[in-house]
Amino acid sequence: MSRRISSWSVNALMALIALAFVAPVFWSMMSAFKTQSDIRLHPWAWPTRPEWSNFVEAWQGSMGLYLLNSLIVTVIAVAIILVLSAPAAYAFARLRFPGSAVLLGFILSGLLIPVHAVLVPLYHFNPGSLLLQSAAQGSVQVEWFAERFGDWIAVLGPYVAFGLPLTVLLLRAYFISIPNELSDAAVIDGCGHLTILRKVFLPVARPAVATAAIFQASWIWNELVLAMVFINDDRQKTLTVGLMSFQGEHATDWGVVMAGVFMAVVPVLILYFAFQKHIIKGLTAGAVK
Amino acid sequence: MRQQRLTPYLLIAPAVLFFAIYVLYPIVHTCVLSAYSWSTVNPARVYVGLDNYRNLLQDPYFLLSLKNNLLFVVLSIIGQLPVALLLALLIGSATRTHQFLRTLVFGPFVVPVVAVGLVWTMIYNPSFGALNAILARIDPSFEGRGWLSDPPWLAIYSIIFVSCWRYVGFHMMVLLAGLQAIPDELYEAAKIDGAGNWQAFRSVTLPLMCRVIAMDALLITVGSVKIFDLNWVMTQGGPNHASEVLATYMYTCGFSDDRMGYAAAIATVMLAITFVATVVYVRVSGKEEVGEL
Repeated sequence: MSRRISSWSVNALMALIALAFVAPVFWSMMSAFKTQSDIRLHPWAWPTRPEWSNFVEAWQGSMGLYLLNSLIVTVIAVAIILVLSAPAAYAFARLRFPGSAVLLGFILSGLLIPVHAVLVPLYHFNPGSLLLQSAAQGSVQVEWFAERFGDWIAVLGPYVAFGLPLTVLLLRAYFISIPNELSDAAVIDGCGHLTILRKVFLPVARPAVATAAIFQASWIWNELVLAMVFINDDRQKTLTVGLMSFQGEHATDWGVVMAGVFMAVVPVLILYFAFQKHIIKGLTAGAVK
Repeated sequence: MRQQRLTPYLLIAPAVLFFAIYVLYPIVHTCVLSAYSWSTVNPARVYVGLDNYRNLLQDPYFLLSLKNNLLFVVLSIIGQLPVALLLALLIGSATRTHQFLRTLVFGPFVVPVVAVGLVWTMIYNPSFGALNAILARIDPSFEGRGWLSDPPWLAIYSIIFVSCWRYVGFHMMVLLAGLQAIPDELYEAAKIDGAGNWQAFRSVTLPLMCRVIAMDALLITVGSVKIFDLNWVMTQGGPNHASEVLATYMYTCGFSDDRMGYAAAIATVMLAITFVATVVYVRVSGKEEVGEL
Protein backbone atom coordinates (compact mmCIF):
# COMPACT_ATOMS: atom_id res chain seq x y z
CA MET A 1 0.00 0.00 0.00
CA SER A 2 2.67 2.48 1.02
CA ARG A 3 4.55 1.45 -2.07
CA ARG A 4 1.52 2.41 -4.21
CA ILE A 5 1.25 5.77 -2.51
CA SER A 6 4.91 6.49 -3.03
CA SER A 7 4.81 5.50 -6.69
CA TRP A 8 1.73 7.70 -7.12
CA SER A 9 3.45 10.63 -5.45
CA VAL A 10 6.59 10.12 -7.54
CA ASN A 11 4.50 10.27 -10.69
CA ALA A 12 2.73 13.38 -9.45
CA LEU A 13 6.09 14.98 -8.71
CA MET A 14 7.37 14.14 -12.19
CA ALA A 15 4.27 15.65 -13.76
CA LEU A 16 4.70 18.76 -11.65
CA ILE A 17 8.32 19.16 -12.75
CA ALA A 18 7.32 18.81 -16.39
CA LEU A 19 4.49 21.29 -15.95
CA ALA A 20 6.71 23.90 -14.27
CA PHE A 21 9.02 24.09 -17.26
CA VAL A 22 6.54 23.66 -20.08
CA ALA A 23 3.43 25.53 -18.93
CA PRO A 24 4.83 29.10 -19.05
CA VAL A 25 6.00 28.74 -22.64
CA PHE A 26 2.89 26.85 -23.65
CA TRP A 27 0.53 29.41 -22.14
CA SER A 28 2.13 32.36 -23.92
CA MET A 29 2.36 30.49 -27.20
CA MET A 30 -1.38 29.87 -26.91
CA SER A 31 -1.93 33.62 -26.74
CA ALA A 32 -0.48 33.92 -30.23
CA PHE A 33 -3.69 32.27 -31.47
CA LYS A 34 -6.06 34.50 -29.52
CA THR A 35 -7.74 37.79 -30.28
CA GLN A 36 -7.01 40.91 -28.25
CA SER A 37 -10.26 40.66 -26.31
CA ASP A 38 -9.81 36.91 -25.71
CA ILE A 39 -6.41 37.60 -24.17
CA ARG A 40 -7.79 40.34 -21.94
CA LEU A 41 -11.03 38.70 -20.85
CA HIS A 42 -10.09 35.01 -20.68
CA PRO A 43 -6.38 34.71 -19.97
CA TRP A 44 -6.65 30.99 -19.23
CA ALA A 45 -9.12 29.87 -21.85
CA TRP A 46 -8.29 28.11 -25.08
CA PRO A 47 -8.61 30.29 -28.16
CA THR A 48 -12.29 30.35 -29.14
CA ARG A 49 -11.13 29.82 -32.70
CA PRO A 50 -7.52 30.04 -33.93
CA GLU A 51 -6.71 33.62 -34.86
CA TRP A 52 -4.20 33.65 -37.72
CA SER A 53 -4.14 37.41 -38.19
CA ASN A 54 -1.50 37.69 -35.44
CA PHE A 55 0.88 35.64 -37.53
CA VAL A 56 0.11 37.60 -40.66
CA GLU A 57 0.95 40.79 -38.81
CA ALA A 58 4.12 39.31 -37.32
CA TRP A 59 5.26 38.23 -40.74
CA GLN A 60 4.57 41.69 -42.16
CA GLY A 61 6.47 43.15 -39.19
CA SER A 62 9.57 41.53 -40.77
CA MET A 63 9.92 38.62 -38.36
CA GLY A 64 10.81 36.48 -41.36
CA LEU A 65 13.58 38.88 -42.34
CA TYR A 66 14.96 38.92 -38.79
CA LEU A 67 15.07 35.12 -38.72
CA LEU A 68 16.89 35.02 -42.05
CA ASN A 69 19.36 37.71 -40.90
CA SER A 70 20.11 35.81 -37.69
CA LEU A 71 20.67 32.65 -39.69
CA ILE A 72 23.11 34.38 -42.05
CA VAL A 73 25.06 36.15 -39.30
CA THR A 74 25.24 33.01 -37.15
CA VAL A 75 26.44 30.78 -40.00
CA ILE A 76 29.11 33.25 -41.13
CA ALA A 77 30.36 33.88 -37.58
CA VAL A 78 30.55 30.19 -36.67
CA ALA A 79 32.36 29.41 -39.94
CA ILE A 80 34.98 32.11 -39.31
CA ILE A 81 35.38 31.00 -35.68
CA LEU A 82 36.10 27.42 -36.77
CA VAL A 83 38.48 28.45 -39.56
CA LEU A 84 40.51 30.63 -37.19
CA SER A 85 40.38 28.26 -34.20
CA ALA A 86 41.32 24.96 -35.85
CA PRO A 87 44.91 25.83 -36.89
CA ALA A 88 45.53 27.55 -33.56
CA ALA A 89 44.16 24.59 -31.59
CA TYR A 90 46.30 22.27 -33.73
CA ALA A 91 49.47 24.26 -33.03
CA PHE A 92 48.74 24.47 -29.31
CA ALA A 93 48.00 20.73 -29.13
CA ARG A 94 50.67 19.27 -31.38
CA LEU A 95 53.62 21.61 -31.76
CA ARG A 96 56.15 22.73 -29.18
CA PHE A 97 57.24 26.33 -29.47
CA PRO A 98 58.52 29.00 -27.12
CA GLY A 99 55.74 31.16 -25.66
CA SER A 100 52.97 28.67 -26.37
CA ALA A 101 51.76 28.60 -22.76
CA VAL A 102 51.64 32.39 -22.55
CA LEU A 103 49.85 32.76 -25.87
CA LEU A 104 47.33 30.07 -24.95
CA GLY A 105 46.67 31.74 -21.61
CA PHE A 106 46.27 35.01 -23.51
CA ILE A 107 43.44 33.60 -25.65
CA LEU A 108 41.81 31.61 -22.86
CA SER A 109 41.60 34.75 -20.71
CA GLY A 110 38.70 35.64 -22.98
CA LEU A 111 36.53 32.85 -21.55
CA LEU A 112 35.16 34.97 -18.75
CA ILE A 113 35.42 38.53 -20.05
CA PRO A 114 32.05 40.30 -20.21
CA VAL A 115 31.25 41.78 -23.64
CA HIS A 116 30.33 45.04 -21.89
CA ALA A 117 34.04 45.61 -21.30
CA VAL A 118 34.60 46.23 -25.03
CA LEU A 119 31.41 48.08 -25.97
CA VAL A 120 32.52 51.70 -25.64
CA PRO A 121 35.81 51.52 -27.56
CA LEU A 122 34.43 49.23 -30.26
CA TYR A 123 31.44 51.52 -30.77
CA HIS A 124 33.75 54.41 -31.60
CA PHE A 125 36.63 52.54 -33.25
CA ASN A 126 35.37 49.35 -34.81
CA PRO A 127 38.21 47.90 -36.92
CA GLY A 128 35.82 46.29 -39.41
CA SER A 129 33.80 49.45 -39.93
CA LEU A 130 36.90 51.65 -40.19
CA LEU A 131 38.40 49.32 -42.79
CA LEU A 132 35.16 49.34 -44.74
CA GLN A 133 34.91 53.13 -44.56
CA SER A 134 38.39 53.71 -45.90
CA ALA A 135 37.81 51.15 -48.65
CA ALA A 136 34.54 52.87 -49.59
CA GLN A 137 36.33 56.09 -50.52
CA GLY A 138 35.76 56.40 -54.22
CA SER A 139 34.31 52.97 -54.83
CA VAL A 140 30.59 52.89 -55.46
CA GLN A 141 30.36 49.12 -55.02
CA VAL A 142 32.07 49.13 -51.65
CA GLU A 143 29.98 52.07 -50.59
CA TRP A 144 26.83 50.17 -51.47
CA PHE A 145 28.13 47.12 -49.63
CA ALA A 146 28.96 49.22 -46.55
CA GLU A 147 25.49 50.66 -46.48
CA ARG A 148 23.78 47.34 -47.03
CA PHE A 149 25.94 45.09 -44.81
CA GLY A 150 28.09 47.45 -42.72
CA ASP A 151 26.34 46.70 -39.43
CA TRP A 152 26.97 43.01 -39.88
CA ILE A 153 30.67 43.65 -40.53
CA ALA A 154 30.79 45.67 -37.32
CA VAL A 155 29.05 43.04 -35.18
CA LEU A 156 30.80 40.01 -36.68
CA GLY A 157 34.17 41.16 -35.30
CA PRO A 158 33.30 40.80 -31.61
CA TYR A 159 31.11 37.74 -32.31
CA VAL A 160 34.10 35.91 -33.78
CA ALA A 161 36.60 37.20 -31.22
CA PHE A 162 34.49 36.15 -28.23
CA GLY A 163 33.84 32.76 -29.83
CA LEU A 164 37.52 31.92 -30.25
CA PRO A 165 38.62 31.06 -26.67
CA LEU A 166 36.21 28.21 -25.95
CA THR A 167 36.50 26.81 -29.48
CA VAL A 168 40.31 26.74 -29.26
CA LEU A 169 40.01 25.10 -25.83
CA LEU A 170 37.58 22.38 -26.98
CA LEU A 171 39.39 21.55 -30.22
CA ARG A 172 42.78 21.53 -28.54
CA ALA A 173 41.60 19.10 -25.85
CA TYR A 174 40.34 16.76 -28.56
CA PHE A 175 43.45 17.08 -30.73
CA ILE A 176 45.65 16.15 -27.76
CA SER A 177 43.73 12.91 -27.32
CA ILE A 178 44.30 11.79 -30.94
CA PRO A 179 47.02 9.11 -31.03
CA ASN A 180 50.25 9.96 -32.86
CA GLU A 181 49.98 6.92 -35.13
CA LEU A 182 47.11 8.57 -36.98
CA SER A 183 49.15 11.54 -38.08
CA ASP A 184 52.50 9.76 -38.45
CA ALA A 185 51.62 8.32 -41.83
CA ALA A 186 50.71 11.74 -43.14
CA VAL A 187 53.94 13.20 -41.76
CA ILE A 188 55.97 10.51 -43.52
CA ASP A 189 54.15 11.30 -46.76
CA GLY A 190 55.49 14.80 -46.36
CA CYS A 191 52.17 16.54 -45.84
CA GLY A 192 52.20 20.07 -44.44
CA HIS A 193 50.52 20.93 -41.16
CA LEU A 194 47.44 22.41 -42.78
CA THR A 195 46.95 19.27 -44.86
CA ILE A 196 47.33 17.05 -41.79
CA LEU A 197 44.87 19.22 -39.94
CA ARG A 198 42.34 19.06 -42.76
CA LYS A 199 42.74 15.42 -43.77
CA VAL A 200 43.44 13.73 -40.43
CA PHE A 201 42.59 15.85 -37.40
CA LEU A 202 39.37 17.62 -38.35
CA PRO A 203 37.58 14.50 -39.65
CA VAL A 204 38.48 12.60 -36.47
CA ALA A 205 37.55 15.54 -34.24
CA ARG A 206 34.06 15.94 -35.71
CA PRO A 207 32.32 15.52 -32.32
CA ALA A 208 34.39 18.36 -30.83
CA VAL A 209 33.78 20.53 -33.88
CA ALA A 210 30.03 19.90 -33.57
CA THR A 211 30.08 20.69 -29.84
CA ALA A 212 31.93 23.95 -30.40
CA ALA A 213 29.73 24.93 -33.34
CA ILE A 214 26.52 24.30 -31.39
CA PHE A 215 27.74 26.34 -28.43
CA GLN A 216 28.82 29.31 -30.52
CA ALA A 217 25.75 29.20 -32.76
CA SER A 218 23.48 29.28 -29.74
CA TRP A 219 25.42 32.14 -28.19
CA ILE A 220 25.32 34.26 -31.33
CA TRP A 221 21.67 33.43 -32.06
CA ASN A 222 20.79 34.71 -28.56
CA GLU A 223 23.20 37.64 -28.31
CA LEU A 224 21.50 40.94 -27.56
CA VAL A 225 23.75 43.76 -26.40
CA LEU A 226 26.32 43.72 -29.22
CA ALA A 227 23.49 43.55 -31.72
CA MET A 228 21.79 46.51 -30.01
CA VAL A 229 24.95 48.61 -30.19
CA PHE A 230 26.06 47.75 -33.73
CA ILE A 231 22.92 46.96 -35.73
CA ASN A 232 20.74 50.00 -36.38
CA ASP A 233 19.71 49.38 -39.96
CA ASP A 234 16.24 47.78 -40.06
CA ARG A 235 17.23 45.59 -42.99
CA GLN A 236 20.13 44.09 -41.03
CA LYS A 237 18.47 43.51 -37.66
CA THR A 238 18.90 40.04 -36.21
CA LEU A 239 16.27 38.14 -34.28
CA THR A 240 17.00 39.52 -30.81
CA VAL A 241 17.04 43.21 -31.70
CA GLY A 242 14.28 42.59 -34.21
CA LEU A 243 12.03 41.08 -31.53
CA MET A 244 12.79 44.02 -29.24
CA SER A 245 11.79 46.63 -31.80
CA PHE A 246 8.85 44.48 -32.86
CA GLN A 247 7.65 44.43 -29.26
CA GLY A 248 8.16 48.19 -29.08
CA GLU A 249 5.86 48.71 -32.06
CA HIS A 250 3.16 46.36 -30.78
CA ALA A 251 3.54 47.16 -27.10
CA THR A 252 -0.09 46.58 -26.19
CA ASP A 253 -0.92 43.94 -28.74
CA TRP A 254 0.34 40.84 -26.97
CA GLY A 255 -1.21 38.40 -29.42
CA VAL A 256 0.97 39.80 -32.20
CA VAL A 257 4.06 39.95 -29.96
CA MET A 258 3.57 36.31 -28.98
CA ALA A 259 3.11 35.36 -32.64
CA GLY A 260 6.55 36.90 -33.20
CA VAL A 261 7.94 35.02 -30.20
CA PHE A 262 6.32 31.85 -31.52
CA MET A 263 8.11 32.23 -34.84
CA ALA A 264 11.40 32.74 -33.02
CA VAL A 265 10.97 29.86 -30.59
CA VAL A 266 9.43 27.03 -32.60
CA PRO A 267 12.33 26.47 -35.05
CA VAL A 268 14.75 26.37 -32.12
CA LEU A 269 12.57 23.90 -30.20
CA ILE A 270 12.21 21.63 -33.24
CA LEU A 271 16.00 21.55 -33.63
CA TYR A 272 16.35 20.94 -29.90
CA PHE A 273 14.01 17.95 -29.80
CA ALA A 274 15.61 16.49 -32.93
CA PHE A 275 19.21 16.77 -31.71
CA GLN A 276 18.75 17.03 -27.94
CA LYS A 277 21.74 14.90 -26.97
CA HIS A 278 24.19 16.87 -29.09
CA ILE A 279 22.68 20.19 -28.13
CA ILE A 280 22.74 19.53 -24.38
CA LYS A 281 26.33 18.33 -24.68
CA GLY A 282 27.29 21.35 -26.75
CA LEU A 283 25.69 23.90 -24.46
CA THR A 284 27.16 22.51 -21.25
CA ALA A 285 30.60 22.12 -22.84
CA GLY A 286 31.95 25.31 -21.32
CA ALA A 287 31.11 24.22 -17.78
CA VAL A 288 31.67 20.48 -17.73
CA LYS A 289 35.09 20.61 -19.35
CA MET B 1 64.55 24.91 -40.70
CA ARG B 2 63.84 28.55 -40.14
CA GLN B 3 60.49 28.10 -41.77
CA GLN B 4 59.68 25.23 -39.44
CA ARG B 5 60.33 27.35 -36.40
CA LEU B 6 57.93 29.96 -37.69
CA THR B 7 55.15 27.53 -38.58
CA PRO B 8 53.43 27.32 -35.17
CA TYR B 9 53.28 31.11 -34.97
CA LEU B 10 51.76 31.35 -38.43
CA LEU B 11 49.12 28.81 -37.43
CA ILE B 12 48.06 30.69 -34.31
CA ALA B 13 48.55 34.20 -35.70
CA PRO B 14 45.06 34.71 -37.19
CA ALA B 15 43.27 33.71 -33.98
CA VAL B 16 45.63 35.60 -31.67
CA LEU B 17 45.56 38.78 -33.77
CA PHE B 18 41.80 38.73 -34.10
CA PHE B 19 41.40 38.25 -30.38
CA ALA B 20 43.92 40.99 -29.60
CA ILE B 21 42.24 43.50 -31.91
CA TYR B 22 38.66 42.86 -30.84
CA VAL B 23 38.99 41.95 -27.14
CA LEU B 24 42.28 42.72 -25.47
CA TYR B 25 43.02 46.09 -27.02
CA PRO B 26 39.45 47.37 -26.43
CA ILE B 27 39.66 46.25 -22.80
CA VAL B 28 42.80 48.31 -22.23
CA HIS B 29 41.13 51.12 -24.13
CA THR B 30 38.07 50.93 -21.86
CA CYS B 31 40.27 51.33 -18.78
CA VAL B 32 42.00 54.34 -20.34
CA LEU B 33 38.75 55.93 -21.51
CA SER B 34 37.32 55.64 -18.00
CA ALA B 35 39.70 58.44 -16.97
CA TYR B 36 38.06 60.89 -19.38
CA SER B 37 34.81 62.76 -19.57
CA TRP B 38 33.46 62.64 -23.10
CA SER B 39 30.50 61.89 -25.28
CA THR B 40 29.66 61.15 -28.89
CA VAL B 41 28.16 64.59 -29.39
CA ASN B 42 31.15 66.37 -27.92
CA PRO B 43 34.14 64.18 -28.74
CA ALA B 44 36.67 66.52 -27.14
CA ARG B 45 37.91 64.42 -24.25
CA VAL B 46 38.62 66.00 -20.93
CA TYR B 47 41.02 64.17 -18.64
CA VAL B 48 39.35 63.81 -15.24
CA GLY B 49 41.56 61.21 -13.57
CA LEU B 50 39.59 59.17 -11.07
CA ASP B 51 36.60 61.52 -11.01
CA ASN B 52 34.35 59.05 -12.80
CA TYR B 53 35.04 56.49 -10.10
CA ARG B 54 34.49 59.04 -7.32
CA ASN B 55 31.16 59.93 -8.87
CA LEU B 56 30.24 56.26 -9.11
CA LEU B 57 30.64 55.88 -5.37
CA GLN B 58 28.09 58.67 -4.82
CA ASP B 59 25.75 57.59 -7.58
CA PRO B 60 22.70 55.97 -5.92
CA TYR B 61 21.77 54.13 -9.13
CA PHE B 62 25.23 52.65 -9.45
CA LEU B 63 25.15 51.48 -5.84
CA LEU B 64 21.69 50.07 -6.40
CA SER B 65 22.98 48.21 -9.46
CA LEU B 66 25.81 46.73 -7.42
CA LYS B 67 23.32 45.68 -4.76
CA ASN B 68 21.04 44.10 -7.37
CA ASN B 69 23.95 42.20 -8.89
CA LEU B 70 24.84 40.92 -5.43
CA LEU B 71 21.22 39.93 -4.90
CA PHE B 72 21.34 38.15 -8.24
CA VAL B 73 24.43 36.18 -7.18
CA VAL B 74 23.12 35.19 -3.76
CA LEU B 75 19.54 34.34 -4.76
CA SER B 76 20.66 32.52 -7.90
CA ILE B 77 22.96 30.30 -5.86
CA ILE B 78 20.36 29.70 -3.14
CA GLY B 79 17.57 29.24 -5.65
CA GLN B 80 19.35 27.14 -8.25
CA LEU B 81 21.94 24.87 -6.65
CA PRO B 82 19.69 22.92 -4.24
CA VAL B 83 16.93 22.58 -6.84
CA ALA B 84 19.43 21.59 -9.52
CA LEU B 85 21.02 18.97 -7.25
CA LEU B 86 17.61 17.64 -6.23
CA LEU B 87 16.54 17.39 -9.87
CA ALA B 88 19.80 15.68 -10.82
CA LEU B 89 19.20 13.09 -8.10
CA LEU B 90 15.47 12.74 -8.86
CA ILE B 91 15.51 12.49 -12.65
CA GLY B 92 19.16 11.64 -13.29
CA SER B 93 18.81 8.01 -14.35
CA ALA B 94 19.06 6.67 -17.90
CA THR B 95 15.38 5.65 -18.11
CA ARG B 96 13.36 7.16 -20.93
CA THR B 97 11.00 9.02 -18.61
CA HIS B 98 13.89 10.67 -16.82
CA GLN B 99 15.66 11.53 -20.04
CA PHE B 100 12.48 13.09 -21.38
CA LEU B 101 11.97 15.09 -18.18
CA ARG B 102 15.56 16.32 -18.33
CA THR B 103 14.95 17.47 -21.89
CA LEU B 104 11.97 19.50 -20.66
CA VAL B 105 13.80 20.99 -17.67
CA PHE B 106 16.74 21.98 -19.89
CA GLY B 107 14.32 23.36 -22.48
CA PRO B 108 14.10 26.99 -21.27
CA PHE B 109 17.87 27.23 -21.68
CA VAL B 110 17.61 26.79 -25.47
CA VAL B 111 14.71 29.22 -25.87
CA PRO B 112 16.15 32.59 -26.97
CA VAL B 113 16.54 34.90 -23.97
CA VAL B 114 14.56 37.71 -25.55
CA ALA B 115 11.68 35.29 -26.08
CA VAL B 116 11.90 34.09 -22.47
CA GLY B 117 11.82 37.70 -21.28
CA LEU B 118 8.76 38.52 -23.36
CA VAL B 119 6.96 35.33 -22.32
CA TRP B 120 7.41 36.14 -18.63
CA THR B 121 6.61 39.82 -19.09
CA MET B 122 3.25 38.64 -20.33
CA ILE B 123 2.84 36.11 -17.52
CA TYR B 124 3.58 38.88 -15.00
CA ASN B 125 1.20 41.33 -16.68
CA PRO B 126 -1.01 42.95 -14.02
CA SER B 127 -4.32 42.79 -15.84
CA PHE B 128 -4.24 39.63 -17.96
CA GLY B 129 -1.10 37.73 -16.93
CA ALA B 130 -1.34 34.05 -16.12
CA LEU B 131 0.16 34.51 -12.67
CA ASN B 132 -2.46 36.94 -11.39
CA ALA B 133 -5.18 34.91 -13.06
CA ILE B 134 -4.22 31.91 -10.92
CA LEU B 135 -3.46 33.77 -7.71
CA ALA B 136 -6.63 35.86 -7.84
CA ARG B 137 -8.66 32.64 -7.61
CA ILE B 138 -7.01 31.89 -4.29
CA ASP B 139 -6.83 35.45 -2.99
CA PRO B 140 -8.62 38.26 -4.85
CA SER B 141 -6.11 40.82 -3.57
CA PHE B 142 -3.67 39.62 -6.24
CA GLU B 143 -5.91 41.08 -8.91
CA GLY B 144 -3.95 43.70 -10.82
CA ARG B 145 -0.66 43.22 -9.01
CA GLY B 146 2.30 44.48 -11.05
CA TRP B 147 5.09 41.97 -10.54
CA LEU B 148 7.52 44.12 -12.53
CA SER B 149 6.45 47.55 -11.36
CA ASP B 150 4.49 47.80 -8.15
CA PRO B 151 6.14 48.04 -5.67
CA PRO B 152 9.29 48.90 -7.65
CA TRP B 153 11.62 46.78 -5.52
CA LEU B 154 9.65 43.67 -6.46
CA ALA B 155 10.84 43.82 -10.08
CA ILE B 156 14.35 42.51 -9.45
CA TYR B 157 13.01 39.51 -7.52
CA SER B 158 10.58 38.69 -10.31
CA ILE B 159 13.45 38.83 -12.81
CA ILE B 160 15.72 36.68 -10.65
CA PHE B 161 12.97 34.08 -10.46
CA VAL B 162 12.79 33.91 -14.25
CA SER B 163 16.56 33.65 -14.44
CA CYS B 164 16.51 30.70 -12.02
CA TRP B 165 13.74 29.07 -14.04
CA ARG B 166 15.79 29.42 -17.20
CA TYR B 167 19.15 28.25 -15.88
CA VAL B 168 18.27 25.55 -13.34
CA GLY B 169 18.19 22.89 -16.08
CA PHE B 170 21.67 23.88 -17.17
CA HIS B 171 23.04 23.51 -13.66
CA MET B 172 21.18 20.23 -13.26
CA MET B 173 23.20 18.92 -16.22
CA VAL B 174 26.48 20.24 -14.80
CA LEU B 175 25.84 18.60 -11.43
CA LEU B 176 24.62 15.40 -13.10
CA ALA B 177 27.95 15.11 -14.90
CA GLY B 178 29.60 15.33 -11.47
CA LEU B 179 27.25 12.73 -9.98
CA GLN B 180 27.93 10.29 -12.81
CA ALA B 181 31.66 10.58 -12.17
CA ILE B 182 31.21 9.05 -8.69
CA PRO B 183 32.13 5.36 -8.94
CA ASP B 184 29.27 2.92 -8.18
CA GLU B 185 31.55 0.85 -5.93
CA LEU B 186 31.41 3.58 -3.31
CA TYR B 187 27.63 3.33 -3.07
CA GLU B 188 27.84 -0.45 -2.96
CA ALA B 189 30.38 -0.26 -0.17
CA ALA B 190 28.12 2.15 1.73
CA LYS B 191 25.18 -0.24 1.28
CA ILE B 192 27.20 -3.18 2.59
CA ASP B 193 28.10 -1.06 5.60
CA GLY B 194 24.36 -0.71 6.18
CA ALA B 195 23.94 2.91 5.09
CA GLY B 196 20.47 4.05 4.00
CA ASN B 197 19.81 6.41 1.10
CA TRP B 198 20.17 9.53 3.18
CA GLN B 199 23.36 8.31 4.84
CA ALA B 200 24.84 7.35 1.49
CA PHE B 201 23.98 10.81 0.20
CA ARG B 202 25.65 12.47 3.19
CA SER B 203 28.76 10.35 3.37
CA VAL B 204 29.39 9.62 -0.32
CA THR B 205 27.58 12.06 -2.60
CA LEU B 206 27.99 15.37 -0.79
CA PRO B 207 31.71 15.16 0.04
CA LEU B 208 32.59 14.02 -3.47
CA MET B 209 30.35 16.66 -5.04
CA CYS B 210 31.81 19.48 -2.97
CA ARG B 211 34.21 20.66 -5.62
CA VAL B 212 31.74 20.40 -8.47
CA ILE B 213 29.18 22.36 -6.45
CA ALA B 214 31.74 25.03 -5.59
CA MET B 215 32.75 25.38 -9.23
CA ASP B 216 29.13 25.61 -10.29
CA ALA B 217 28.49 28.28 -7.66
CA LEU B 218 31.35 30.32 -9.09
CA LEU B 219 29.99 29.80 -12.59
CA ILE B 220 26.70 31.27 -11.37
CA THR B 221 28.60 34.16 -9.77
CA VAL B 222 30.48 35.09 -12.91
CA GLY B 223 27.30 34.73 -14.95
CA SER B 224 25.36 36.94 -12.56
CA VAL B 225 27.89 39.77 -12.83
CA LYS B 226 27.34 39.85 -16.58
CA ILE B 227 23.55 39.52 -16.46
CA PHE B 228 21.90 41.88 -18.95
CA ASP B 229 19.40 40.35 -21.35
CA LEU B 230 16.51 39.43 -19.06
CA ASN B 231 16.64 42.75 -17.20
CA TRP B 232 16.78 44.68 -20.41
CA VAL B 233 13.89 42.84 -22.06
CA MET B 234 11.61 42.80 -19.00
CA THR B 235 12.13 46.24 -17.41
CA GLN B 236 15.11 48.00 -19.07
CA GLY B 237 16.33 48.48 -15.50
CA GLY B 238 13.15 50.23 -14.37
CA PRO B 239 10.86 51.31 -12.90
CA ASN B 240 13.05 54.30 -12.08
CA HIS B 241 16.24 52.16 -12.02
CA ALA B 242 14.78 49.80 -9.39
CA SER B 243 15.86 46.64 -11.26
CA GLU B 244 19.06 48.12 -12.66
CA VAL B 245 22.17 45.91 -12.75
CA LEU B 246 25.71 46.95 -13.69
CA ALA B 247 25.35 45.86 -17.32
CA THR B 248 22.05 47.66 -17.91
CA TYR B 249 23.22 50.79 -16.14
CA MET B 250 26.43 50.78 -18.15
CA TYR B 251 24.43 50.50 -21.36
CA THR B 252 22.02 53.26 -20.33
CA CYS B 253 24.81 55.64 -19.29
CA GLY B 254 26.79 55.05 -22.46
CA PHE B 255 24.26 54.57 -25.19
CA SER B 256 21.14 56.41 -23.95
CA ASP B 257 22.67 59.25 -21.90
CA ASP B 258 25.84 59.47 -24.02
CA ARG B 259 28.21 59.61 -21.04
CA MET B 260 30.90 57.45 -22.57
CA GLY B 261 33.65 57.96 -20.00
CA TYR B 262 31.27 57.16 -17.17
CA ALA B 263 30.05 54.03 -18.96
CA ALA B 264 33.67 52.97 -19.48
CA ALA B 265 34.24 53.33 -15.73
CA ILE B 266 31.28 51.03 -14.98
CA ALA B 267 32.59 48.53 -17.54
CA THR B 268 35.98 48.63 -15.81
CA VAL B 269 34.32 47.86 -12.47
CA MET B 270 32.54 44.88 -14.08
CA LEU B 271 35.85 43.71 -15.47
CA ALA B 272 37.52 43.97 -12.06
CA ILE B 273 34.75 42.00 -10.34
CA THR B 274 34.92 39.30 -13.03
CA PHE B 275 38.68 39.17 -12.64
CA VAL B 276 38.47 38.59 -8.89
CA ALA B 277 35.79 35.91 -9.35
CA THR B 278 37.97 34.23 -11.97
CA VAL B 279 41.00 34.12 -9.70
CA VAL B 280 38.87 32.49 -7.00
CA TYR B 281 37.45 30.10 -9.60
CA VAL B 282 40.90 28.98 -10.72
CA ARG B 283 41.98 28.53 -7.10
CA VAL B 284 38.95 26.41 -6.25
CA SER B 285 38.83 24.38 -9.44
CA GLY B 286 42.24 23.08 -8.51
CA LYS B 287 45.67 22.78 -10.01
CA GLU B 288 45.24 19.53 -11.93
CA GLU B 289 42.56 21.07 -14.10
CA VAL B 290 44.54 24.23 -14.76
CA GLY B 291 47.52 22.09 -15.63
CA GLU B 292 45.36 20.28 -18.15
CA LEU B 293 44.21 23.49 -19.75
